[in-house]
Amino acid sequence: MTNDQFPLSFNASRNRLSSMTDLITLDQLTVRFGRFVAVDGLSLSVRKGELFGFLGPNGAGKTTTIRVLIGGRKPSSGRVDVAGFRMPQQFDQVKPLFGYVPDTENHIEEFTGRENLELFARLYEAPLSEVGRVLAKLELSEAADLPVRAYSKGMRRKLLIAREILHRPRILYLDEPTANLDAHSTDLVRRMLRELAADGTTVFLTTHDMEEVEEICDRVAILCRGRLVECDTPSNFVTRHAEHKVAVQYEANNATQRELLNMDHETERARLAHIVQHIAGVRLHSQEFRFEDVFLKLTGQAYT
Amino acid sequence: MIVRPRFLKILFNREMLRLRKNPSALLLIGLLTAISLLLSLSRPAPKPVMNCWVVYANESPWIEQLRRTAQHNKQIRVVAMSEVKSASDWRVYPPTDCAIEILSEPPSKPVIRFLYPGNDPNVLSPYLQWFWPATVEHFGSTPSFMQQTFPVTGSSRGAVMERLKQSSLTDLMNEEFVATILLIIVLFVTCCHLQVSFTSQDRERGTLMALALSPAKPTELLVSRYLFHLSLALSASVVIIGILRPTAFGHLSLWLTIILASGGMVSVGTVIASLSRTQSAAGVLSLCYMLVGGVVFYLATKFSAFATLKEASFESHCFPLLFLSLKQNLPLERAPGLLKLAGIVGCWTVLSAWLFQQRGWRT
Repeated sequence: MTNDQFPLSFNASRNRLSSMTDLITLDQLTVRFGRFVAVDGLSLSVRKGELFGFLGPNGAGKTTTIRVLIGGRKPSSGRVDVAGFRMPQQFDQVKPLFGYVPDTENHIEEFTGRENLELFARLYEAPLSEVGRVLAKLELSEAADLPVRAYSKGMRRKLLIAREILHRPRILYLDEPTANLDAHSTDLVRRMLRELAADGTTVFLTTHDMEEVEEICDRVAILCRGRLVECDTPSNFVTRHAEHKVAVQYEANNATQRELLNMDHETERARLAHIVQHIAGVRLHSQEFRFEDVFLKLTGQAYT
Repeated sequence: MIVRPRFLKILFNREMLRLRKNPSALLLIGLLTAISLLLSLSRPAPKPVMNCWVVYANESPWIEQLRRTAQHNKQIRVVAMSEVKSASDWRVYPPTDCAIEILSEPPSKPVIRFLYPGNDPNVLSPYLQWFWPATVEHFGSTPSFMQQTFPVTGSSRGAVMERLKQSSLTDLMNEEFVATILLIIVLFVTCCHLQVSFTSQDRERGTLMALALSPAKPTELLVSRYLFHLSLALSASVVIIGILRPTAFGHLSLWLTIILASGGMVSVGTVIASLSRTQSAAGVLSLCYMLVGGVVFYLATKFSAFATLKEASFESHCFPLLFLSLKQNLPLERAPGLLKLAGIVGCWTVLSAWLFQQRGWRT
């Protein structure tokens, strides 16, 4: 479908996008629930066509931030701009531009998968032919005419994603999109998200799957206790925070000894040299520092 | 705020499709229709002719003349006063019968009392068409009488109580009463109950939020629901009135009352659903609303402060307006309750729209 097929009101909002680089801007966003501060002075920006990972431990404020971005919650203070529109004041103008895949399914259970998608296609004024296209894309064509209540968790998740890409949104918010998906479907969704980003859609996703972050995200922000810890590309994160460790295993005093030595520390390097020189049959394994380790290190620091 | 018809149509169709796929909701409406049908079938058929008791104090040639001329009419029973059961000096007749009581005769001035059931004295006319010719035939001319005409219920308290004892419940539950009760139930189910149930379910599942995040505005979501429930309530009302009281179809006041009552009930349902995050919480809140309503209505009979509160509830205006409108076509200027009802429903609608906008669609 070309942009010409979208209604004029949608295209007016889309034209405004073409001249922008930062599609989402948060400036000192704060959200309070009574005395509890869920998001505390969060500032970040997301560029057009970027696949942006938004990470954090449970209760870090990720879902609350997304809720503010989609207009589902009013910020306590701070400024939120989405596609050049101020939120929540210009909520109605922003709505046609984004898709939101929540962390819980919100289908109309009595309807079939196709009926669910057709309803949203009509609301977004998307051609009904798009329904078949997205169903096929997410491998749901065979189950399209079954009631949603008969779907497995993974199928429901895929139907949710199908519903939100139906109108070819310019921004796609996803809250743990690959939860409950099997390996095949996970791969399918990841590839689809990369394709969407390549086509210029800004993808803003939260996930607890660190492998996913490393594999598909262009940039990542780590949030902890409502505050931004750091924001960078996954490889920069690893490079900057990587710890070079070596796992050492040897026999001594009729028992297997295991040590994990940090090669960034002088004393531990000397210890490794000593073991290698004086003990026979030493087994060495260099430990690869993954993004997950960076995440644990940074969020751990935030808690201490 | 502009409401776009295109979105109303899509959302209205969605509600209709959902109703079709919810057999329990349809079953409930079907059940109510079946009840009306059963009630209309089990209702005793109106008697084409009623009995007329001609009761006399003393035997006389005039009474003999009356007895003779009435001998071929089985509906007319000429009996002595002593043969009729009485209470507090008033005779007690079957509730659907009329009576002609001859209390004194010439040469003293005759006193005749005519008693008729219900509100219409004209039901006596077939018997008067026999009584007066027979009397004139006997006296040669119309003698001077003292006539009194009463409804049967206009007699003494003792006689009324005696009559009530003889009446069955179905006599008291006339068509208008039954139709009013059924209409109230139907409006409650189609407007309040279904709105609470559907909206809170949608809210708990997050469907409402998904719809509100689409290009449709929350106001359009709400208006489409109002239209859906109103059309459902009107359709069910047409069926029930058609079965129980077809003569009331042309009563404008009846349809205005139904529309206003439906609007009020949808608004109450919206307020309840907007204040509850889950379906079970909405169920509890609905029960609380009904309980508080019942208590206020009871206390209103005891304390004037509660009477004011009762006046402020639209339900207190619905019942009498529906009942009277089913009975007769109330001229709108003679139905001040309708204006009050419109005012109260308007307040509920504004409150529900504000609450729904603020929090009703959010998960």
